[in-house]
Amino acid sequence: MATILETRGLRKYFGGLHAIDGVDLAVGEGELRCVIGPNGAGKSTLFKLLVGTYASSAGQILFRDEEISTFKPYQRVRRGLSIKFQVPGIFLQLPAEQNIRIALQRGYADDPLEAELERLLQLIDLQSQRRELAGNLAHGQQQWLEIGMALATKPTVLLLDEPTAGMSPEETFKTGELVKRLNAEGMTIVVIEHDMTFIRQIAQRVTVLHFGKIFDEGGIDDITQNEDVVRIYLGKA
Amino acid sequence: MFSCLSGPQTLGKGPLFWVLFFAAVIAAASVPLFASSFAVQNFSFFLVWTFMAMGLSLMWGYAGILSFGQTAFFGLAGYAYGVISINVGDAHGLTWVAFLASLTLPVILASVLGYLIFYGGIREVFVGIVTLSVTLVFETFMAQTAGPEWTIGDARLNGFNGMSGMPALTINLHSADFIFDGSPFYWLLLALVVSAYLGLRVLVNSRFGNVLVAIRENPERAEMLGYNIRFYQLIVFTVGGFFAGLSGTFYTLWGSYITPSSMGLNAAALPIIWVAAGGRTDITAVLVSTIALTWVSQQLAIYGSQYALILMGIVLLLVVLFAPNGFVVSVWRSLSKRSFDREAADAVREFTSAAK
Repeated sequence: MATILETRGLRKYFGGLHAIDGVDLAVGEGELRCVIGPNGAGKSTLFKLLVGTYASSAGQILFRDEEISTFKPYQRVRRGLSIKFQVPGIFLQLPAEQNIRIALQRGYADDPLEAELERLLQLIDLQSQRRELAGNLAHGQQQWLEIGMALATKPTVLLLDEPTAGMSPEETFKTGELVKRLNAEGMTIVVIEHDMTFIRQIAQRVTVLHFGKIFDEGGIDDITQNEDVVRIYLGKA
Repeated sequence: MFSCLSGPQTLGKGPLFWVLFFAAVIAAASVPLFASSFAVQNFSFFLVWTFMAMGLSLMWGYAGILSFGQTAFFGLAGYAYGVISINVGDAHGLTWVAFLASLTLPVILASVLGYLIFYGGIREVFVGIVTLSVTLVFETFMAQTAGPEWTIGDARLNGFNGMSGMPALTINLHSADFIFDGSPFYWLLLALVVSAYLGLRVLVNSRFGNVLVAIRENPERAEMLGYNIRFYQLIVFTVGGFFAGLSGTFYTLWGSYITPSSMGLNAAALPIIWVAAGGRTDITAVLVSTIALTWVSQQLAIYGSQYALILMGIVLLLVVLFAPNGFVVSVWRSLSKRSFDREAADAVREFTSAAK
């Protein structure tokens, strides 16, 4: 499996705080990777470094072997990276369908755009609420809407930061099935999550972050049987 | 025919709206046919300001860029027309060159200033502070140009008293001069206001307009959809500067004078009040409120200019407290909702009677 997204010695310092402290991460093409770790481990910071919201203090980010560390966020998106933020980053005062339409219009002409809009609204189950203002949607629906927007940019690598936060068990399961389906269609997906049931549902490979460093990496069973991982994840380290 | 003029970013659509719109345009165009030349001059004055207000609506209401210094572009264009037309306009019949040059300069200033602001990472309220500073610097500079050394060619800048005596816009047609003065000036202004209004409606309802609204709502997400938001902000800022310049040039043409106070704090605050009062997120609302408020201000100015400013302050307070989306937009939405509720109630009645 060829590596599509890679970090080499990636660091991010906020004053004296080493939020990301020398992370070497390699994600293979078509992989479905989960990133876990206790609060403050640096998971969301890692994503923000990958998409360019934060500038790295040191190290490299490579996308398809191209160094993208100095690229602006929109340039990284145009290369094929897309993200769903931890806090839903949607256009609250606009109808749900306009959120998707804006996301689609950069890559589609009028007719294909309408067809893709329908497909995405069906995929995220928002057809009946397409004219509702995004701010009036339930929290789980806002999460789906943002996933739909992230998908509209035709990404090759999709980063999902806590996609099931605030969802019911049924919605969480549906989200898991959606993620698995997208991955089966060939999309590389990296997911930050706390919900271990969800991780068990989707994960192929898990990376554990702790104090800004990679603590462990492996299959879900190996990770959950690692006593050190269990200890830090439960806050006993 | 009107599909590109309507869309999610503008209120007012459907045959009734456009019939009313064309009726209003025809009524406005026929004003010189029955009104006195003084009244025509007054109507021209109201129209002069609408360019700056619509430009600010595009920047603030659609793209989320609050500029407190549109008067910098207004003043630059006004002074540029004065200086150039006095030097080359009257003697050589090149007022149209002065007209075009006076619109080019604010575009250049806006693009340079916009580049420094947006590519320099200045955001939100700080854009307002920077633009306000620029207009106050311009005002202060021009106010100290009273001495005889402050002369550009034949044009004396004249300090706080301002420049005067600029020639009217003149076009040479078949060896005869056509002067845009009185009614022709009013018709030219009206034609440009209607064109600007329709052009902006097309722009904000286009894909470009969608991106502007996205940037206003959530710039980080807009960039994460692959849009170079700084470029879009720069374009909008430049367009806003152009529209403010259009107002400045026409203001100088209208009264044949321009003073530094046109770039001062009071002048800089007025467009924000017109735009906020109507509803910054809709071009039509801003057009209506700007004409209405400049008319009210003018009526009050008869009793003293301070009354108009006090009223504008009260209007701003009322908007902030009771209608943050603007009075015109709020009334419009409330009427639309009533009509929608009525239609829904009729549909339910029809359905239940059919079921019986």
